[in-house]
Amino acid sequence: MLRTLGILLVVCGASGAGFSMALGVRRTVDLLQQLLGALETMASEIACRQTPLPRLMAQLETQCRGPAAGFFGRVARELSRREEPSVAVIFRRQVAAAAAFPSPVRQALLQLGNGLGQYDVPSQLRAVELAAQRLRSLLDQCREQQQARVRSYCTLGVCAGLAIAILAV
Amino acid sequence: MTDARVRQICAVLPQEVADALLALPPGRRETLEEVRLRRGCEITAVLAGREAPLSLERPLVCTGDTLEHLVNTACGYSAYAAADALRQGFLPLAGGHRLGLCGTAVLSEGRVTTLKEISSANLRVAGQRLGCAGAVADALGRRPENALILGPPGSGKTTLLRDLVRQLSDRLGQRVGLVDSRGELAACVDGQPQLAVGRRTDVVSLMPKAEAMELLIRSMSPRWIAVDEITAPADVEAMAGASYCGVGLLATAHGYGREDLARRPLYRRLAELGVFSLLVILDGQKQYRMERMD
Repeated sequence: MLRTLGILLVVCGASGAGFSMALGVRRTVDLLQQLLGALETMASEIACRQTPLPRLMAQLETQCRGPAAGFFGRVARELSRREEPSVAVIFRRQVAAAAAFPSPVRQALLQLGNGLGQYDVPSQLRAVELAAQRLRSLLDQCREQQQARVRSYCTLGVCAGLAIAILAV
Repeated sequence: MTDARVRQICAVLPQEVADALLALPPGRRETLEEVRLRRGCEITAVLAGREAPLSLERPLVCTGDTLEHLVNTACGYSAYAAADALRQGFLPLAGGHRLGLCGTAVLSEGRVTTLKEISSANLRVAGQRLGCAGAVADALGRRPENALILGPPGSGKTTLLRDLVRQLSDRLGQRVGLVDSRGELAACVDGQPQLAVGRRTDVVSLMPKAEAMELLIRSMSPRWIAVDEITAPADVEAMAGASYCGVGLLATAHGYGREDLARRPLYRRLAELGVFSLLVILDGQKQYRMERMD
């Protein structure tokens, strides 16, 4: 009885680890979709209403959820305090604090931070578009691999659990 | 200068510059008129009309980073949202203060689109002289007519016009449309006038004068329209047009006296059109006299 329970726990644990890895892929896709939506809003707000960045970032905080909302909220609060010399400095700090963001997403956001807040509307829009292009290509890559990866992680989890159970028996 | 005004000024200054300002004795701080920052030079302050180093302890040198920080905080990290003002070389600040800027112009199709590589900045502390236009307001209250305020640069034309608008609006209860094409009269930030211009005053900011006057007449039905600094032929024609609509006009113009109106082609045209009948002449010592235009 105890042995059966142990085998079941091993299989469930390994499967859980597999499913959790698969969930990570889904979360990355979700994060990228949210960031792309935020950049779309950013572009239209800058182009049509010339909304100042502190207000725009606060607006994006309410539009997004999870880590993306947290990121934009923290940036908005730092911008409102007006203590830092530039947007780039604020973005660098907040990107470093956003542990949930994968490395290529961080790179895209850092590049965006370097271009935001300066100069005229067309140059702002170019900076936003550049960041959106990078995120879009990441999203495409993720989506291509998503099906295969999710299936592999789940299968690997279950198989690994079974293998450990067989070896243990 | 009150503590609130010191806070408004310090909010846009880099920390060490703000610290130096706060380190001034309160008596001296009250006389602050400007903070001047020139790239590569020591930061200075104009106190009671005299320019002197801001920090007396150690030289406080202005760098490119200092100016970048200042511009970023002054426009809320959103230079694109203040592009119209930036193109004219200034940024309006909370409290009616303003940051004048010099730098390299960015041109597009021969037109200045913005400034880059800022070389110097002048943070001007806003000052209001409430009640200074009492006599003009009384005169216009008794006999409504178009008035032109004439004076040399720095003589207080804008200050006088602002107080005249405030008194017509608050004291005489008349609706005033204010064309603040340079953001200096009402100094709106987020749509809120930072200087007292009266409860019955509608402000159009940073719009060309002709269009702004048309907008005000069409949509706000003002009793008076006030315009700062007539500088272009289009302004003169727009004022003439507005004067036919039954609106009283108040405006300012650069000049040392009545003779300048006859000498400068722009003002000669203004006199020919007979738009203004009352002339308020400032003497450069913050005193004025009223004369009738012939």
